[in-house]
Order: sequence, then structure tokens, then C-alpha cells
Amino acid sequence: MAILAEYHKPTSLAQAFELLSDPAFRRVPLAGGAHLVGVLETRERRDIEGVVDLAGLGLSFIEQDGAYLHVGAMTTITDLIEHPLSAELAGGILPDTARYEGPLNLRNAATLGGVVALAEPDSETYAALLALNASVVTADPNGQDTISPLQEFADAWPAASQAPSLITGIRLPLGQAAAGHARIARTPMDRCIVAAVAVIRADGKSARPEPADGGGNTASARVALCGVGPRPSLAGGRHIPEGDFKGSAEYRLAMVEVVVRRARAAAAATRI
Amino acid sequence: MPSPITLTINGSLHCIDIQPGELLRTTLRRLRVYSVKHADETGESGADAILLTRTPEDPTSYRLVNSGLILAAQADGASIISLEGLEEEGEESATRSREEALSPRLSALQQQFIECGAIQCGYCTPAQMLAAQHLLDKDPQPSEAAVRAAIAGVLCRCTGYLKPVQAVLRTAAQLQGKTPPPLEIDVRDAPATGEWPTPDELPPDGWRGEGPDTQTQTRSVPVTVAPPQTQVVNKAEPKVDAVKLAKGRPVFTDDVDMPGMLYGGLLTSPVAHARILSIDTSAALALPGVHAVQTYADLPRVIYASGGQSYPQPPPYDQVCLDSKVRYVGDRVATVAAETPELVQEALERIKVEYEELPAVFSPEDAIQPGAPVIHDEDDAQMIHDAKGNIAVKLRVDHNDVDDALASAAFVFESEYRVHQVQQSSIEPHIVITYWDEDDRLVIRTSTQVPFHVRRMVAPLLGLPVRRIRVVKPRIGGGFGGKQEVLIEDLCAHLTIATGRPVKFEYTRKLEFTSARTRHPQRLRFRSGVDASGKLVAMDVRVVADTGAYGTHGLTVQMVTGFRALSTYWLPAARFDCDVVYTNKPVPGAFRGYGAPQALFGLEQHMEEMALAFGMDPVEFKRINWVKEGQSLPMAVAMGEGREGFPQTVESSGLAECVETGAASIGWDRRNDPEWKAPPDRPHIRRGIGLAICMHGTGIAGLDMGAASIKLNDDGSFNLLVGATDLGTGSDTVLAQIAAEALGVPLEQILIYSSDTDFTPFDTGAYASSTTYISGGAVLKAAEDVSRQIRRHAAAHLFDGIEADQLWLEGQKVVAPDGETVPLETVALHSIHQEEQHQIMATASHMSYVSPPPFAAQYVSLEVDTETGQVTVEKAAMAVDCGIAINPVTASGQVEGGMTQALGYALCEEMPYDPNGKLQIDRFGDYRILAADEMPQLDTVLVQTYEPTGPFGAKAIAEIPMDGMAPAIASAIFDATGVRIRQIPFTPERVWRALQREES
Repeated sequence: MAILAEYHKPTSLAQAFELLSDPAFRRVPLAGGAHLVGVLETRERRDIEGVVDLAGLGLSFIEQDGAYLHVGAMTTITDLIEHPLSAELAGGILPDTARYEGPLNLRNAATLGGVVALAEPDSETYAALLALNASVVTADPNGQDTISPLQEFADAWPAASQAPSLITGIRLPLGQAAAGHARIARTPMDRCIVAAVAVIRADGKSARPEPADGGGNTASARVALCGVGPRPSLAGGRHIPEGDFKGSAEYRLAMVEVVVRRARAAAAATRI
Repeated sequence: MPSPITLTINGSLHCIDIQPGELLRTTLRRLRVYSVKHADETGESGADAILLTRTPEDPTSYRLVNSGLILAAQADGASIISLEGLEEEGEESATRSREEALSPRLSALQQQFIECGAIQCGYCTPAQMLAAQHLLDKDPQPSEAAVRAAIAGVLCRCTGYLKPVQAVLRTAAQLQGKTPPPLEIDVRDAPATGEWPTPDELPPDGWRGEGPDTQTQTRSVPVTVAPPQTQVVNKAEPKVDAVKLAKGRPVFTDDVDMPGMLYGGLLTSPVAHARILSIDTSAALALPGVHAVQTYADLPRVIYASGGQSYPQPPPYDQVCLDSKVRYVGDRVATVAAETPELVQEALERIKVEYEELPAVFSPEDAIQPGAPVIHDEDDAQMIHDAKGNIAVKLRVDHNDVDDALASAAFVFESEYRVHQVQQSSIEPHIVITYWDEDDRLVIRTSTQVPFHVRRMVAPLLGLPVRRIRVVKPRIGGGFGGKQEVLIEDLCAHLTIATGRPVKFEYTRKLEFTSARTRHPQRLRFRSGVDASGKLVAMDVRVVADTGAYGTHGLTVQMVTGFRALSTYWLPAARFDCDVVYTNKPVPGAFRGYGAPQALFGLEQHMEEMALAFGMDPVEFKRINWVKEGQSLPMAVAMGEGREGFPQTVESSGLAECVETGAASIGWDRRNDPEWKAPPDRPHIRRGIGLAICMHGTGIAGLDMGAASIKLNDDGSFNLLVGATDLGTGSDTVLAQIAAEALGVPLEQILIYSSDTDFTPFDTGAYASSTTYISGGAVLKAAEDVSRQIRRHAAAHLFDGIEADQLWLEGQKVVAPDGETVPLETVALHSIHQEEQHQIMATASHMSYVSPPPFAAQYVSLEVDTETGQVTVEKAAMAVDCGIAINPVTASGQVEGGMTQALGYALCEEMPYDPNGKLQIDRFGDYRILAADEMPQLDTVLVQTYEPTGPFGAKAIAEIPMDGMAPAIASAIFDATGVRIRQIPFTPERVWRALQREES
């Protein structure tokens, strides 16, 4: 029942931008479809005339780039978590959290760019990216790449007034780190009600005093939370959760201390 | 604009034109890849999963993806494997030998799925097997956890995943050249002496009075249980429909192509309570390709009740096909028939409806307040108890004088419980195809539990005589009560009548949640008294039930609640007082258990709480009070199915054995181990174990009727035609086993067909745990009749000087006492072609004035995270007395699947609403049904007794697994934490709040 007038599969970013910036047609990027095809099919989104499939842009890759892991935006969750470097990164926190993104058949379709673009409040993978201090690489129609820390990117995304930009990749700092993860859900594999991911880095920086934000997050010790705001966010500051049938705002707030403590403890208990 | 794509499907290249928005699932089904199933729109079900790659030269590059979450255009150039392709794997030549063509091969995985009983309805089976095969290709020796993770994205509502996981692990062993150990189904026989009732003493105060019922009017001699001497019955025979399901063949309602078929769709109400002031359909009708738009103005107004039940339907009659008033968000407004599903959707969105919104009520408490909005203010509804007061049905049953008995009791205890609304959630949605046949008869091909009720009930709605309607029931992808309803057959048929064209009408998953059926929420108040020894003297049960916007099943479900609440423990005096109340919410109906899970959530906790308050061990308290062999069930008379019932005595019960066996399975003694209960290394964890007793019924006494026909074929095989409806439970297999046993033939000699109102005899349908007992009774009678005919013909013509009643059937032969045998084939050929030619054939009907109760003990062990309230069930065990299990594999499959649904009821399934009555969930995931990788350990023990009234000693098993999990979990949470939670589901926040309250 997906009612679409157009399907496009550009083979260059320039073509993609041309299609997406044409004001005559309401087109959106298709980054796998695990979410978008569903909302088209249910008619939850009725404002879309065409999709621009990003699968032809060569954005499915994982490569080491110095001290970073550079992951193409069209890399599926499965490809990411099956990559050898993924298992090494902070004790394998990406595979650990990604299995709560959805079962295998969804992880095989969902892409990392999709996870970042959607920023679902209960995405533990997104929280792990935040805790890992990931950056988002975007491209604009002028061929300009921009790299911004995920939390800054999230604050500005999606900006309708801005010139169109596409998420092309995620950069993950490599280096020794330990991670911990704590979650509360209705059933063991359900999407979480509240969850926390903590990452502690052992890159020597922690020896120096570091600037910390309100939640005690520093560059070398970061905790990210799910379920206490419109999207996953770093712990600390003001969390204003929206209550729903899985848990009221009051419950979610009360659980922050529990999951942060447990995630930190789990990270601390892991030898780096 | 259509554009061409290429797909390699199971090795064959296809070029096909597609629409830009077309799903890959749609394209595959257009190419007749029918194993790919529609179950939802958002991917959580995984029923449409396939293997896909862009580099087919690398077999490891295939990925399991949901074809309903990929546009066909995205898959252009890809290579795809569906279940149809699995059997071809490894085949060197594309051409098959004649032997292979005549006897299709099964892969090792398919064989194991069949042998293990891993297939119930079979709707999710193709995707589940693909997921499993994909794992085995990558990891030939997977762990159980790996198997569970691999199939976790394919939801199954029937099996509880135990047998599918077992099948995959056994396949792995087989492929490694190992011989998997024999299948183990734990079947035990209850003590040969049965269970003698304890003598019941008269209470000193003489409650007995003049009442017609006494505790021990009749005592039957306990039946000796011996292992049945049978060849087919009580054996783990593979399901008779397993091969076609294992191969993903087109067997479901949707799996046909009809020339000229249109698609149907339903516009539902966005508001909870409103009058329709106007509907403008012109813009919808103006769309080329839209053939009909129907509103209340287009259809005759015929009042009916939609619950699929025996004639006459229990009241109230409060529905019409399409009405000028809507009563809940999701109520029917208008229908459309058009050339494509997309056109249907566009047309629905173009219908302009002007609503005059009315105040709405969402709880029974509000609905019965004076001045509350009246939900059924129409003047033509019939037999509503108090329409102005929003009370659909009022039930009041008195057995002896409860007030007197309570006044003289040594101890009286009162407590209240709440149960919520959940959904059957069969993986196959409701789906119907209707068309005119060449004789101007309307054919309704529908996924229903009740084909014969559908035919009788839709006739007046359509204005057609019953004789002009034929209902065909293909394989059903799960029902669980949700398809014991005339839900959309009427609307689809009206569209065929309006257009003259075949119409297919299938619910989306969202419509399943908003506009199908659910389980009745209830508030239950129990007040009971005991004498000084702890024996119950009376119980008073007050229930307020929510029947949503319509009263279908409202009377009978609540009657079962009362019956179950007041029959599990023997009561000298009892009262049931129940209001079934309308609200502006989606409609409850039949759901596995049918009022019993609600009753037992209250009853079992009430009994436990009472025992503790009275100072007795709860299990002992239950033991001295539960109903025993030889005792009568007074409420059976007082509470029939919407009418007066029939006297009944318990003839068989293995309950004591069930309680003992289950306790051993769960490790009941751990309740006394402080280190287990509060593990020192995890200070926030508390563990507990809980028990609930269950008792159910077997069919509806004096009402349910099933019939069967058996016909002898030339080769000595038999056609068995039944009206009974196999929803995936295995009832076709069980009925065929009964026939095979009685006719002395192996199972493959019985060719069962079910069901088609033109060809098969009547059956009330698949509900009320009746099929094995009632329909099985009919099969047994018909088989015995055919056996008599065979023996008579053989004695008259093929044996010399032997009477028919000296002969018996065994091993496909007629056998004489002297050892002489005549093959059945000889009798068949002789009787059909050679002498005294006639067709050996019989039809028999069966009904029963009793409904012998199966009994069970359900146990859980769990842990509670006291900081978060999260409850994790470690193990669920059920020991059940279902009489003699006709098929231990399908019986244990019923237990595993039922327990899993019951776990969902207790833990995570929920239908939350916003303040305007709009359902807040519309997809799986949000509506959480348990997945394969989050299941607790399940243990099933079949404790066999012999039920003298059942075929080969059988009683029911289908519903009782649903009954006791929620109270067992409540009991275990109490054991773990000392906190009693009287409302389900036990979500983290509810448990956390209860723990917080206890602390403060």
C-alpha cells in the first residue's frame, strides 16, 4: 500500500542532491528502508512523493582511518557488528547494544545512517555512539564534508531551513576503552524503557583534569541514556522524559540513577 | 509508472514490471512465491523474511531480510531464496526423476520440523525455516542461544518456540552425521487407583437446606489407568498437514489468484463516539478503478450479534453491518472495493465523513454512572439488559444461601483483582475472499474458526438464503478465538454483491489491533468463608466486565468466568454477580481461555491470600478444597452457555499428581533456600516460585455438536470429512488418528478434509476446547459404524461361517479369531464392484451433556529486580491432566504455545489508550509478544488419566495452559518480595511502584 510516485537510485552524491533539492517534488532519502518503508506502508507518512535510494552511492564500508573507525552511512547494523574492529571497540559495546535495535532480519536492513537520522529515543545503538563520542560526517551539495560530534549534530538535525545535507558516515574514535550497559525493558529483548551506556577511555587523558559537563561526562568517561528524552542523550543536564505506556515520566526519571550507576559499574569492572 | 526489474528467485531469472511503491513481498507473491506471508506492515513479524544477496556467487553473502520492508525497486538485480528454493539446494540436475516427482523430497530441516511437531498453524514456518537454514549454512553446530537469536525475528504465536528450536538443533546433529536422541515427551500415567474423593462432612450449620445439589450425589468408581493398548492413538504421529506446511505450499486463504479480483478496504472511525451526519463518497468513487464504496446508506439494516456461536446467538443483538453511529476508535464506517490495494487506500482517504462527536466513556465504572453517555441508544437493538445504563448483560447465579454460609463461617476473607485487555494476535490477519460461483452462489473463502456459524449468520445480513452461500475454510494461520467471529465476511460479501467481482479483504496489523477482537478486561471481587478446618463454606464473586462497544461473547465469556471461579474449588454455597458493561473501546470477544484466565487470576490469588490470612499453607488449603473425582459441579447446572446447563460429576482427575509433578519440575524446595532467593552477589535480585491450580472444561455441555463422515475407498483407504476446524492445533491429525485407530489402519490411510459447508458435515467449530472430545467423538462413532459395515460385508461374503461381531480390524485387514485375514482392499473392491454392491460409508454426530474438566498445575520461577521492578521468568512448568493424549506431541505443543501466550498476558501484552480512547499501539513490538530469544525454559508433563466419556479417554488441552500463568507469577513475585500485586500486567513500573509502596 506504499503509495509512491517515484523511486530513484542515484549513483553520485551530486545526483542525489539534485533529486532531493528539487522543490517541485517531495522526496526523501531511503537508507535501507527498515523504518521508511513501514511508515509509507502504514500511511503514517503521506507527504512523500518519491524516495531517493542511497544504496548506489558507495556508502557501505567500514575502514580504519588512523585513530578512527570510519563507517559508511549505508553500512547495515549487521555489517557493522560483524566487523572484527567492532568487537574490539570498547569491549564490543556496539554488538552488545545493536542486538536490542531489533532482530537479525531488521538489523540486516537497517543502516547506521538510518539509526543516526532517526535518533529514536530507545535506540541503544545511538546511545552507544554517543558514549563512544562518535562524530557524524555529512556532505552538502557543494561537495563539502562536515564532521560534527554526534550530540551537536543531533541538536541541529533535521534542519529544514538549512541547505540539504546527507549523512555519509560515522567516525568512531578507536583506542582502549571499557564499556558498560544497563537496561530496563518489559521483556529481555524488548526495546528498552530506560537504558544507559557508559564508556571509559584509557588513553591517558583521564590523568589530567578534564572539563566535565553537568552529568560528569568528560572526553574519557561518557554515559549516554535512552528513554528519558526525545532522543538518546548524554547523562546529566535536564532530562525531560515523555511518559508512555511502557513507563511514566516519573518512573523513567527515577530509573536514571539506577541504570547510570549500573552501566558505570559494569564499565569500571571491565579491564581495559 | 511501472518499470521493469530483474530478480533471480530460487535460481530462476525473472523480469517483471513493478510500481515505484511496490513491496518486494508483493512482487514475490505476484510471481507465485506464496511461502512469503503478509502478517504486518512494519516488519516486526518477519513472516515475509527471505534470503537476499547481490553477490550470489558468494553463498555466505545472503542476508535474511523482510520482503515487506524492502521496495521491489531496491531489490532490482538481487538474488533471492525463498522456502520454495530450499529443497532444490544441492541438486545437481535441474530435472527431477519420476520417483522424486511422485514423492517430493524433504530437507533435513523440513523432516525435523515435521517430526518434532514444530509446525502448528504453519503461517510463520516458511520464514522460520529460512532463518534456521541460513544459520545452519553458516554455523553447522549452533548453540541453542544462536538458534534462538537466528529465528527471533520471526514471531510465532502458536508454538512457544520450543519445538522449532529443538527441530533446528536436531537438524544440526543430523547433518553432522549424528543420530539425534529420540524425542522425549514427558507422559506419565496418574496412579492406577485414581484419586478418591475425601468424604465430605456436612457443615454443622446445615447450609445444605433444601437445595437441589449436594456435594456427593454420585460417586463414580475411579477409573484405572493403564497404558492404552493402541496402535495410532496416544502416539506421536506427525501432523497430517505437516508436509504442505513445511514446504510453504499455497494453502492459506490469501494463496489463490482469482481473475478479476478486487481488493476491499475499511474506513474506521477516528473518534470514540459520534453520530455520522454525512458521508460524501463522490471523490472516492470518482477515482478510476474504484468499483464500490459502501456506507450505512447502502446496506440493509439487519440487527445481529457477531460472535460465532450456536443458534440462537446469545444476546444482545446490538450490531449492524454499517451504522450511522460509531462507538469506538476503529469502528466500521465505510468500505471500498477497487482494482489495487493502493487505489483502495486512496479511495478510503477521499471519503469525507462529518461526525457529530458525543461524550465517550472508557471504563465500566464511568459507563454505569447516572448521566453517562448512552452507547446503544438505537431503538432497534434487541435484548440489551439495560441500554440506558450501558449494561449489556447482567448475570446473577445463586447456589444455596451464600450470606447465611458466610455469616456462620469461622473466617471470611475478601479481596479484589483487575485484569486488562489483550489481543489474540494470530500471525495471519483476518482475511476473506468472496465471489459468485457459476451457479450464482456466493462463496466465502475465509480464515475462520467457525465456517458453519459464518454461513448461518451472514445469510440474513446479505439477504441470501443459507443454500446460496458456501463457506470454505482453507488452512488457518492461527485464531485463538479471534476468528470465532463474523468479523469481515459480511463486508467483503457485500462488496462482491455490489460489484459482481471476486473481492479480497484482509486486515492490516493496525486494523487487527483497533478493529478485531480482544480479551475482556474485568474487575473481580472475591469474598469467601471457611469453617474451622479450612474448608470453604461459601464464595461470593462479583465481576464488572468491559465488553467495549458491542456485546458479542459478552454474556458467555463472563459466564465462563463465573463457572471457573466457582467450580475449581468445591463450594457448598456460591454466588456470581456480574455486570457486563459497554464502553467506547475496541470490542472484546473470544480469546483462548474465554473468561477462565480472568477468573483464575483472581481466584488463585484469593485462595493463596486467604490461606495465609487464615494461617494455613496455601497449597494444603487448595488441596483440601479443590474439586475431586466423584464430586459434582453444582455450577454446571446453574451456568450453561447462556442457558441452563446440565448436571455433571468429575469422572477423572490427576490434579494431585499434577501438583506433585510440577513441584518437582520447578524445584519447589528452592523456596526455602535463602541463597537462591536472595543471591548474595546480586543484592537487588529476589527470586521466587509460584503455583496456580487450573481447571477448565471440554466443550460446551449439551450444546456443542460435531459430525464426521467416513467413506471407504477402493484401495482400503478412507476419506474422513469433518466440519471441525484445525487452526494449527493439530486437530485434523488427532481426528485422523482416532479414525485410524478404530479402523485398524495406519494414519496415512486416512485422508482428512476440513472444511467446506458444501461437503463436510456440520461442526460448531474450533472453540471451547471441544474438537478432540466432541468432533473426535463423532469420528469414533462414524469409524465404528464403518467398521461394522466392513465386518458385516466381509462376514457375509469373504469369510466362511464367521459372524461379523467375531471379526476385528487390524493392520489394514479384517481378522478372524482363527487367524484368517482378508485385506481391507479386498473388502473395498468386493463391496464396491463385485457383490451386493454398495458404498461403505457412515456419518455420525456427537454431542455431550458433560464437559469433563482437564486439570493442571502451573508453576513459575522468576527473579524480581527490586530496584527497577523488572520481572524475569526463569522457568515455567505445567503438569496437565488432559485424559489420554491422542497425540502427545501436538498436546505438548498446545501447552507450550498456550503458556507462552499466558506469559505475555501476565508480563508484557497490553492495549493502552490515550484520553480520547485511541489505542496507542498499532504494531507488534509495541504490542510485545514474546520472541524466541527471550523465552524462559518451558517444561510440560502430561499426566494421563482415563476420561470415560471421551474418545479413547481424552479430555481437552487447548485452553487450560492459558489459565494459570498470571496468578502463578503473582504468587512467585509475592514469594520473592513479599509484595502482592493484584493487577496485570506485571510491567517494570507496576512492580516498582508496588515495591515502593511496600517500602514506604
